[in-house]
Amino acid sequence: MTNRPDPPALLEAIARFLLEEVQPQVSDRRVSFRLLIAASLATTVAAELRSGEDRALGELRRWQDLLPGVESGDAGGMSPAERARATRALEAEFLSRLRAGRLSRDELRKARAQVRESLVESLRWLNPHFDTSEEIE
Amino acid sequence: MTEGLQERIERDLSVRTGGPVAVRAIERLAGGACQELFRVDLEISCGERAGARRMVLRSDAVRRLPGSLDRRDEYRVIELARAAGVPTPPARWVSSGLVREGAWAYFMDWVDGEAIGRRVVKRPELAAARERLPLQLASALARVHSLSPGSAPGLALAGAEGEKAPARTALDFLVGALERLPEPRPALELVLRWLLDEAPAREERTLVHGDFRTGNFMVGPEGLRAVLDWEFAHFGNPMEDLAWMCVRDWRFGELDKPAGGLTRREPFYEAYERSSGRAVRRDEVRWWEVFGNARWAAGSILQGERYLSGEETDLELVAIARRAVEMEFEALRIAEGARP
Repeated sequence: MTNRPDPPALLEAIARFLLEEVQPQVSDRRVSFRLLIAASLATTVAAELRSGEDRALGELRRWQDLLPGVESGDAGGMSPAERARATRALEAEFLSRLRAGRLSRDELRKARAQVRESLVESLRWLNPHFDTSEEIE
Repeated sequence: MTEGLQERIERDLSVRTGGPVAVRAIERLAGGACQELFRVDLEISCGERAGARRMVLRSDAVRRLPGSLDRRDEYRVIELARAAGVPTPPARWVSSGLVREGAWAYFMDWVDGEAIGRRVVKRPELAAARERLPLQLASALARVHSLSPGSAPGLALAGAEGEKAPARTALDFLVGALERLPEPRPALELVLRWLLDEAPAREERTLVHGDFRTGNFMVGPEGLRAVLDWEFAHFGNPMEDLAWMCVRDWRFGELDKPAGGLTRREPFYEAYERSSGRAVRRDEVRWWEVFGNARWAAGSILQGERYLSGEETDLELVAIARRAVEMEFEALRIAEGARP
């Protein structure tokens, strides 16, 4: 079955229409501002959809790395639904250990670094202009 | 517009000023989440305020955010802050039921100028103001922090002596916010763990503005005109205000100027130390900055929930919720930098 234009392309078309054709005709400042927000959200979701598979795989592998003793299967061989389930299960296990104070200082440091890596990946499509460098004061 | 408001204002102020008062114009302004604002042009015939006066009427809104004051307590805070020399407009004529049954309200003198954060940090005509603002703000903050539970015994605010330590209160607030989130957020839970492990042991307790940041000051070409928005005032650790001023979101894109998008940290801290005579405890500021980012992240997710629950329909709420990742990243970044 053909799926062209695909969902991200449709969202980008909606964003373009809102920005180029609708927004210039709107004089109400409140509505005009929300049109910009709507276009930006559509663009963001398009980018999120495009990066979906790679991001989900990276996310699962990071949790597996953080919890090496927990059996969760072969990330590469899973369907998207299986991958999402495995990720949620590992996340729940991690949070239970964290809340119970069962993580050492080293494990906490490693967890912070891994979670930050996930956030950086999300920020690439959520806000490509967001500066993730370490040098910021 | 609230029905009969004009007549109620005229009646109430005529009694208070001792002569006829006419409302020439009244317009609802975009308010905060926990207050309603009106611009009111008055013609006052008697008393010290006789003449044509433009004022802001601030009333309690229907809903109230956790940790926010009602207008009666806010009015008292402003009176004390002014007595301590903080540049903030006088609040007058506090009353209940003026705008709505059971809602406290007061009038505040109108101050012209620019308060929108991104304009304050970027507009060319405010360049000279930006030179002066760090010192002026440090001095204003020192005056806020000159008040303590002991020096303002009539002020019944959260965080008074005998209550939990400020950091403990903040942590309880954050735990409560995380419990209300619809889905667990590993980043915020890691930040919470760090905050629990690193909480300051002993803290000073003063009046804290609670929302001291670019966007809540009225600015003119000459610099600071007024400190505004006292609804989150409480007694707590003065370092909380210094940290909130430096939270990344309040830099409005001027990342290399952590103090409100106006200057680097050290000149601001040093100006505060000179004005207040109090040492800025850099570790504590860092702790409160991590907390500030975490609080803001949790708050923005909960704003999105107001939309998703059907309670409100403003698209901006869902967009704000999507930005929580930025604050989560920043909280972890600062926490990591604090303990290599």
